[in-house]
Amino acid sequence: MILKREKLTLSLILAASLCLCGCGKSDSEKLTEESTKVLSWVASAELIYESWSQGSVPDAYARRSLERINKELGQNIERLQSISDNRHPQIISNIEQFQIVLSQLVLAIEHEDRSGGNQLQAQLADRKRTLVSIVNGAPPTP
Amino acid sequence: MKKLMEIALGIVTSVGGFLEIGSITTAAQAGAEFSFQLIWAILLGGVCIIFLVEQSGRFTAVSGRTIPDAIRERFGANYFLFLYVILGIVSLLVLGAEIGGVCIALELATGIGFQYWVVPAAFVIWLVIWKGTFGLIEKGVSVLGLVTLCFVVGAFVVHPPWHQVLQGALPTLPHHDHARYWFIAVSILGASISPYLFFFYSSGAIEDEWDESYVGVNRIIATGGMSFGTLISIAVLILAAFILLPRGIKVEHYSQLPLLLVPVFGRWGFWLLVASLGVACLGAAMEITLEIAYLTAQGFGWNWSENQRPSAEARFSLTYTITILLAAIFVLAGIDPLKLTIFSMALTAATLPVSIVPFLFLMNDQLYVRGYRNSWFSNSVVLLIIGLAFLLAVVTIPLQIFGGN
Repeated sequence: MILKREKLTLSLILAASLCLCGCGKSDSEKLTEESTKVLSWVASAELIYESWSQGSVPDAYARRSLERINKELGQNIERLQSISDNRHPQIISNIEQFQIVLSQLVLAIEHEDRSGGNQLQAQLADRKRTLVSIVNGAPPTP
Repeated sequence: MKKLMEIALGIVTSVGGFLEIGSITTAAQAGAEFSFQLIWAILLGGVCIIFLVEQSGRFTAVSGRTIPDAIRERFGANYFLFLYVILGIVSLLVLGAEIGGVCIALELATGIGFQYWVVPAAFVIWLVIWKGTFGLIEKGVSVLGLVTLCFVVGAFVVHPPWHQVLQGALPTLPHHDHARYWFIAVSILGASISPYLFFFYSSGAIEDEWDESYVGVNRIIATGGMSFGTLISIAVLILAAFILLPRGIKVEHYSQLPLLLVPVFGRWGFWLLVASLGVACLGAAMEITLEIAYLTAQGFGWNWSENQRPSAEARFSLTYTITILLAAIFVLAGIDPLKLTIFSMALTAATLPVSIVPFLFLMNDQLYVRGYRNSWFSNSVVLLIIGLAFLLAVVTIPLQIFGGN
């Protein structure tokens, strides 16, 4: 009998812990967290490209890192899809745009196209500003 | 003159061997997310490791015994076995993270995926241990590790606001992400107070044939080496706070690490980072592998010495061979090296009491340390470290859940 009660208590504690882990953050907080991660990845991409265009990092490193960032952004989209928030479709579409620009940036590096790359970098910066406005609830800039 | 040379070399090897994957990653994450606010955690970890390393060196120099050996004798086989299993698991994970670090450095240098480097890196680690001597591993790799001083140079070059850096030496509460802040603080402490460091140091004192006359040398090496080492970790944090934080970059993958030095040194920065990461992780991987083999051999009463031919100590050699194989499997399994690093640092923090509590007894046991017992001050510090270790053991898992991302 005592053993059963102990087991029940233990199960309740475990269940409560699992609930705590799952319910620790609201959807809005999760969305902000994911968006911050996205912005961090994009900022990394910008600095990596900037370093490459100055000849400070090898081509292989720049290409590989940008491809990895693209993959990470894909995972961000997957996580965002499980969050219910009215801003989430806009954010996902923005991340998809990031992915497209990053893929083009990889091609620009492959072809040593610095002028094309610089334009793409400017696009990244614009998209970043748009994402920040969406997350902050402000109307996105055109 | 000979002692002076030994002190200089000892400090150089301690500095060169201090930085490893855990300290680089946790310091970079701290700087990128909380600016200079977590410098106090690196300093606290540095003070703790200075005391523990000094005591393990003093214990071995006076008693002629290593710490694990004495733990088995003083606390019995059951406690030793408990320590062995816990320390073995944690050290294997940390070793996996270090091998991962070597492979990431090779990936950065060549552009070839890190998984392809696991087997060659593990083989090189094994080969150096198999063929080399303790002196080669301790001094050779650690002297190469001096390349990590580039972080200190970088931190000076960027001219950080020094008054803010000094303010970071005092603990303050974060303005955001409390759980994350404390999780990183715990990981920094886990990376700084690594049991492998003081157990390896203790075995190294036997390998280097220290006796009672080395008590003073040991004190200077432990204090000097670990202090300078702590300085390198702080430099990593400063660079991350100065370069990554203003751009909103959080360290979530090793490919972001070159961004710490490239804006400071240009192309040189990239290669300095690759060399620092590769050499620091290679050195740490060898030390951890040997530490597991030492712990096993000392616990089970086998012959052990890195200076002997492998055939003279077959069980010791077999242990480090299996250890490298197991750790390499972790990395080959596809676990993200950065996640493995952060998890193993947190786990190290959670298991600290098991390794540190015996110090209080051993360092006051006249049978071992005779007239070199701990002073009231050293005992107070060890008690504080034990208190801290228990606190870390309790809070690590909840923090891993809520702040580990």
